[in-house]
Amino acid sequence: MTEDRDPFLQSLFDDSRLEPVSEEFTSAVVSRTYSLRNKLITVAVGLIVILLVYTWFYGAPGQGLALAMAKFLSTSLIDLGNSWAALILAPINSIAGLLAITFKLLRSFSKKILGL
Amino acid sequence: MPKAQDYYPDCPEPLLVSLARGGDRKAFEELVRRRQSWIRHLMQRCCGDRALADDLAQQVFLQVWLKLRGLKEPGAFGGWLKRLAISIWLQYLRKHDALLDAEEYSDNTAQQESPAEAMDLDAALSTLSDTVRLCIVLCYHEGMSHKEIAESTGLALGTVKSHINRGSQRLRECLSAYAESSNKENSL
Repeated sequence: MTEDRDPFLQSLFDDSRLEPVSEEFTSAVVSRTYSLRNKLITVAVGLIVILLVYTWFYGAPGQGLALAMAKFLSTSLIDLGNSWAALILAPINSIAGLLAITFKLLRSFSKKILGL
Repeated sequence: MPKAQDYYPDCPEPLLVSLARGGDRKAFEELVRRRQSWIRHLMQRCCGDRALADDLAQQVFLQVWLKLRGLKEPGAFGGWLKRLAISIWLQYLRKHDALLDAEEYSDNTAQQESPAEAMDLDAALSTLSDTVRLCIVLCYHEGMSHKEIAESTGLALGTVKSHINRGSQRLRECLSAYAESSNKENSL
């Protein structure tokens, strides 16, 4: 497409010379890729070390916290004993279920009423 | 016995792209060797500074190295590389707040030399604002259509057209003195 192109300017651009190929430039790019790769490897190794150290020191307390949370969230809202109704209603008869339903209602409310 | 890498200078580009995508550093090096001239020239036209252009071109190739695995079609390397170069230049402009183009022309316009003084293409380009210059370079240097420029830069099509029209007019004004002085020198 030659939309609105000035022939005089086009000839000037066409006449301009390309930059000569520079081996110095190529080696600079290659050495920068090497140093970037080394940085990425260092960051990855650092993250793995931090994760290992964290697991080593805080693994047990973290696991305890997760278990306590799971126990709390699965607490029944209404005590139905060991009946079949308790099994069927278990997904909604818990704090987790209540939180999920509340979240769902709030989301549909914001979508319908506020248009978010 | 010659190594496979000895044949890289004669390899078709899509093959080199596929090899570089698989982690072949020599293939990547050959790609840099082949495409550096074009990218450095494009960057120099955009920024008007040789050292900065080389630095930006290096950044383009670093991005190539990082993102090459994401290129699905090795034959589309050229267009992909051009888009990457434009994106690097736009990032540079944003970082240096240069896209605040409330005025049509950069400060260089105020320091414009007298018409009698000759002005070459690079100097004339430097009188344009960064976005106008980018549109002009992509239009005349890269041969891109207005629509392609709008898509690559994120500017509105009308803005691109207006930048190219005004930029061309401005360049003609600057370069007419250059053309006249060249003609005089030739006639002497």
